[in-house]
Amino acid sequence: MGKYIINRIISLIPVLLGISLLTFILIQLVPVDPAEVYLRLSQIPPTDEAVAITRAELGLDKPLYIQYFDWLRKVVQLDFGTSFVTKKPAMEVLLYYFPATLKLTAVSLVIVLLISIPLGVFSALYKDTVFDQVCRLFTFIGASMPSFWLGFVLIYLLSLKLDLFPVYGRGTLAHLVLPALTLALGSAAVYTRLLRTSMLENLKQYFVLYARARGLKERLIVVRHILKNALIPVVIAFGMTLGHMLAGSVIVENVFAWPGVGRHIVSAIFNRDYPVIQAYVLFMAVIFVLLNLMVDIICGLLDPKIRLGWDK
Amino acid sequence: MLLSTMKVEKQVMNEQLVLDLKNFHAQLPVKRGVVRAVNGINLQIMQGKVLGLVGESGCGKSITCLSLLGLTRDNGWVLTGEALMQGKNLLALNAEEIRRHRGKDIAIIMQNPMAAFNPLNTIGQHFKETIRSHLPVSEKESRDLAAKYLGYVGLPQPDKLMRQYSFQFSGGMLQRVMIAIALAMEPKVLIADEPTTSLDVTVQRQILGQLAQLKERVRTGMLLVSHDLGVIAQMADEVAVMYCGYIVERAPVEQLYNYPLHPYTRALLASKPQMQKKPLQVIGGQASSLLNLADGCPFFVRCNEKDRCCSHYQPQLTPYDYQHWVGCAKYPAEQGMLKHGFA
Amino acid sequence: MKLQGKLKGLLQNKLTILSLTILGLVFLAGALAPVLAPNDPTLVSLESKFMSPGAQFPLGTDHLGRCILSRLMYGAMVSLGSALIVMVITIVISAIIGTLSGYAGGWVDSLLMRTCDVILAVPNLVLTLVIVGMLGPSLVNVIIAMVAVQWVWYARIIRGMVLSLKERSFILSARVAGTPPWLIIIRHIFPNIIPYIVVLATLDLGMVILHISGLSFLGLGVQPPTPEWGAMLNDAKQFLRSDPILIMYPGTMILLVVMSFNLLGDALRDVIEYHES
Repeated sequence: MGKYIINRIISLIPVLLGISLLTFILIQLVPVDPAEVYLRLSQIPPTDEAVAITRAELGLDKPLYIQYFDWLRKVVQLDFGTSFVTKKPAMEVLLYYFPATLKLTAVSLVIVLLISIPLGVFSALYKDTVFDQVCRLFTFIGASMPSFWLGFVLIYLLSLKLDLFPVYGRGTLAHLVLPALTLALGSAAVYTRLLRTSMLENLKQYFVLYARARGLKERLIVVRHILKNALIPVVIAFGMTLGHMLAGSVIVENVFAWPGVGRHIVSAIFNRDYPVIQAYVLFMAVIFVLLNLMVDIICGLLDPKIRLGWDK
Repeated sequence: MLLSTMKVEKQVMNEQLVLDLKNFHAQLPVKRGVVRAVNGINLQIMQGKVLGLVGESGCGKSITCLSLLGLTRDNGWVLTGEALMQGKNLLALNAEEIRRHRGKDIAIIMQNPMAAFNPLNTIGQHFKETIRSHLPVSEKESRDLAAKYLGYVGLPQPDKLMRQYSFQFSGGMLQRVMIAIALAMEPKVLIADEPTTSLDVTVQRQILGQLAQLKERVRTGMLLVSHDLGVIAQMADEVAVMYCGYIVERAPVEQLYNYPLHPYTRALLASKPQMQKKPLQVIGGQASSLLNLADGCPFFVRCNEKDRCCSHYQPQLTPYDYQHWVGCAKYPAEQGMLKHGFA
Repeated sequence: MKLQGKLKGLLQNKLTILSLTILGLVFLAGALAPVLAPNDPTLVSLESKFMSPGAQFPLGTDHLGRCILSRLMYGAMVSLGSALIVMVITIVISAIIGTLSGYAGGWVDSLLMRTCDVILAVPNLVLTLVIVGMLGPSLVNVIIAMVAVQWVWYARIIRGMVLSLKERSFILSARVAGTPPWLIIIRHIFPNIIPYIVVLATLDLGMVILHISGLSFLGLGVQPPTPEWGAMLNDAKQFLRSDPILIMYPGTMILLVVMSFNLLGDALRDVIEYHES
């Protein structure tokens, strides 16, 4: 197991380097001169002379590869540049907003699990019943629902009409319910469907028939021989979904005026605050990569074939 | 004198009878009609004896096995007849009652050991969960029992083995584990559904040997299902030949091999490779589809010994000779008995 | 090809017909908007704002007095059109890269596939958002960003297909016969992979529409006053309390179209999987 984890971590190094290169290339896409943007945001008239000085200050006058290595050296020291707007370190800005996003995502995740595990398991066990049909309708609509619209529909129905939850703001759990529900629904639908399919696949396994033939109680068979195996593809998809939820929070945060990273990044885009945007993509990519590492480790724990190195 | 010995023997047989399958039918209603997989068969399994059930694939053997374990009922199969075990009809039990029996009183060895174990659970977990589903024992007691039986089937280091996973073993080893699991409960009936089909020939011998040995130890009655006449010849005391859901012939093993009566049995034996370099006989045509199978002799279309009276014949297993039954129009009831002066 | 027979069989499925009908109607409404739309979708008239449905404005008007029906119709063209453009460009790019990678192998393959790994290591939406952020908000940039992220998935699939096709006997024999690679690719490889890729793309069209309208909702895509469903939602959100009906129209349209595409995609997926097995 230890060897497996170490191998996984080593294999991350080229990916992380690639991500850093990608992030660096992204800033080159900017159609305007960042130095000019910097000056404008600092209320300094962008004269040729001022631009030249700023370019030198930001290191933009050096050849690209030197710029990259300068930048990479700073990134390794966790220096992601300074926000053009707030003049604070970009990472500090992100970390300031991140807890709100994390809280939202975490609560959503709990909702996703609470919805998708029972629905997925029981719709597979009671395939083609009314319950299953309703579940499938739910997964279908859930996967097609635009979250930015769902958010407003929920606000309208549950807050304005029924007055169950506060509309905007944060602090209490009640504030979290609507945004978290909005963020959760799409993933919950995808998960329900994935788990249902995976359960159905496993129900057909020969070892399930053998488990029945040995006279095991049905509940034991479901838990130990069907659900346990069915969860593996779900866990594998988990890292990806969690990443998508962190990203999807951009839209939900803007619907509910939730003061997280997602809402801030949209204003950063409008302000052309490039260092913050750059730090954001790097930050999210690293989180995503680490999440997937975590998922790999969990899979290793669940699946002895991976753990014992039999998976070739 | 002869009659009285028969009576005595019958009494002994009655005492030893562990499973009595009477007029068993299994049918599956589907969109385009009814799949008539098993059509009124009678089988008796005796304690300590092996009943071989032989036939081509798709003739209803596996459905019979799974039905005895109560594993076909959820899939829409309609089962009629009786499967009596100690006076209880297995086919009439409710789901929980039959669950208590299967794996304990009636155990099975399945044909594909490589796929029978959950790759996420250890061999030990499989063994222990089976024991603890039927016996009120502690974790440790179940482990000791498992180790004991793994030793019986000749697997070294049972404790280490139980911590390992199915993918770390060969098919032969897993089949031995299955045998150990099946016999650890000392079942009254052991069903072995093509137990050696997926194994190498060299391993087959060993496994069969061990199976025979262990069967003696726990005095279990065995239903050995196979399409392999060699396996049946090696293991069985009595053989039933199945064709399209009918038992067409039943006899003690030597009797059947030496004096096959039914044309299908004869064809089956002729298609078995022999040491003499006779050309192999092939049974012409294909087995009739079990979907909407018509009444009448199922082998009629392929039979090369048929004559006019065959088209009206309703297959029924009738005694021809001592312990030798056949279901063919060529052998009218009691004819053989008369010939041999039994009546 | 057998696949075509299966696709014909699809047309007997009621849900497929329903979704095709919905998509067809929406597409027609969008394409014929300049002829059919009752009003100019961008004509602002402050006297007629927040009007209820009536003869002149069948679905009423928004906060600037613009005809909602006309905006929905023109919006259909923008939403469907941009999604289709994204898909077509994506398929072309990924077909080239995937085929190149699969057919050439070696360092070209390694380089391209490692690039894919890196792009896949960033959540889809984050990368799209950031590319739009760098290029600046506009519909064209959204399309560029979507393509830049999407091609990776298809390129990988196409590469896999090419790799397995390359070993098939009819291509091996063409290679042995000395047919130049470009001819093999055009004559033997493309005809075999394009149908699958088109089906795969249909599967994803719903998702592309969701992304584009989502970005427009954030104000990063279609810019006012161009009518687009996501942007219309963005306009309507401030009037949620007073005129909730304004969010219903564009939202329902997005849901309907995305659902139809997903329905169609599911049916197509079944066909492909059935066909493969």
